[in-house]
Amino acid sequence: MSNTHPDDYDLDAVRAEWIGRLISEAKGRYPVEFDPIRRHCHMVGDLNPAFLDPDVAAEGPYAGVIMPPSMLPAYFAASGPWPPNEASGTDAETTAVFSFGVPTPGDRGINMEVQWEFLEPVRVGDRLRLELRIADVFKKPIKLDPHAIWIVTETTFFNQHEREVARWRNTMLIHRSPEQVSRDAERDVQTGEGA
Amino acid sequence: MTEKHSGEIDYLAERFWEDVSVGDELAGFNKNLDWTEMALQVSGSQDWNRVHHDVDYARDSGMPGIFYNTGWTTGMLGRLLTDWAGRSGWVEKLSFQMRGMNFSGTSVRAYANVTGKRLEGDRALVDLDIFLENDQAGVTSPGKATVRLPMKNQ
Repeated sequence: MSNTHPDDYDLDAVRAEWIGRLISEAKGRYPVEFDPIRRHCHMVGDLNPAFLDPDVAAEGPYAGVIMPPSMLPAYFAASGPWPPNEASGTDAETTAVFSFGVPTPGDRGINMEVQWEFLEPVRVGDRLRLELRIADVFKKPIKLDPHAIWIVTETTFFNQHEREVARWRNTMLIHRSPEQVSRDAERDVQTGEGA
Repeated sequence: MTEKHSGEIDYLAERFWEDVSVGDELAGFNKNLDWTEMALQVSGSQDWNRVHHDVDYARDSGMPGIFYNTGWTTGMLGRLLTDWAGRSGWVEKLSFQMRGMNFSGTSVRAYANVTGKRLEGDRALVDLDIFLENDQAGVTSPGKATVRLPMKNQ
């Protein structure tokens, strides 16, 4: 929970401290498994046997079930959503805020843009790990919050052979809740400042 | 690569690079978004951001309600591509923006257009513009993708 008043927020200092910083070197608690892939496919109505049917997939180009490229490899490359593992950098607080630990005035997150490169198939049984870095932090106003902070991350995923299997560039927007915007505006009125 | 009938896809067929033309349209698929679909997106993505399952929290965050998450959007657009790419096709790149939100009670369509074909070394590539369109909000997620396809002489 951040709730820093925008006037107390030093964007230049945050950028200097956080851009380029390695945030997480999480490793998957479990290998890539059949059933989470099935749940992912169920989510979007995907019936592709390359992802769902071990017998059919065994005869295919990858000689077994692979993870759909659209299934975020982070699912298997981090400790998983529960229980939290502080060493992984994916503790509940960080996950809930989605700012990757970068200080922000607000504590509400919306994802804005994703760019994926899928380099190699990920098979059931693979062990994945990731390296996540902060690529950029900047301020860009939105209707809800003129002091919204945008955080760009770059994540590389590796398999158990230390081969890169995917790259992910993600842009997350962190904004204040309407209640916090109002509270900050009240302070501006009281102090004569203009947030 | 053929569609057997009304959306039933032959996943075992190949789609060859030579058979694809710039301007080809991927009809894609539709999905009606109800509360079961909303539950499935949390189950499938394991995304616990409360804006995707807690109505009060979403409204407190300034949103009209809970909305579908990035993992779901990625899955929808990924399925669009892998449904089309055939047995040996490989999605090399996928990118999109979240320009609008998808809510329960609406329906969406995932579709694409082929915008380019090129050979890079031994890779036969197809570039596509991809779209997730909502019946009430318009295109909520426009994006781009590159798919590698097999060639007939390989």
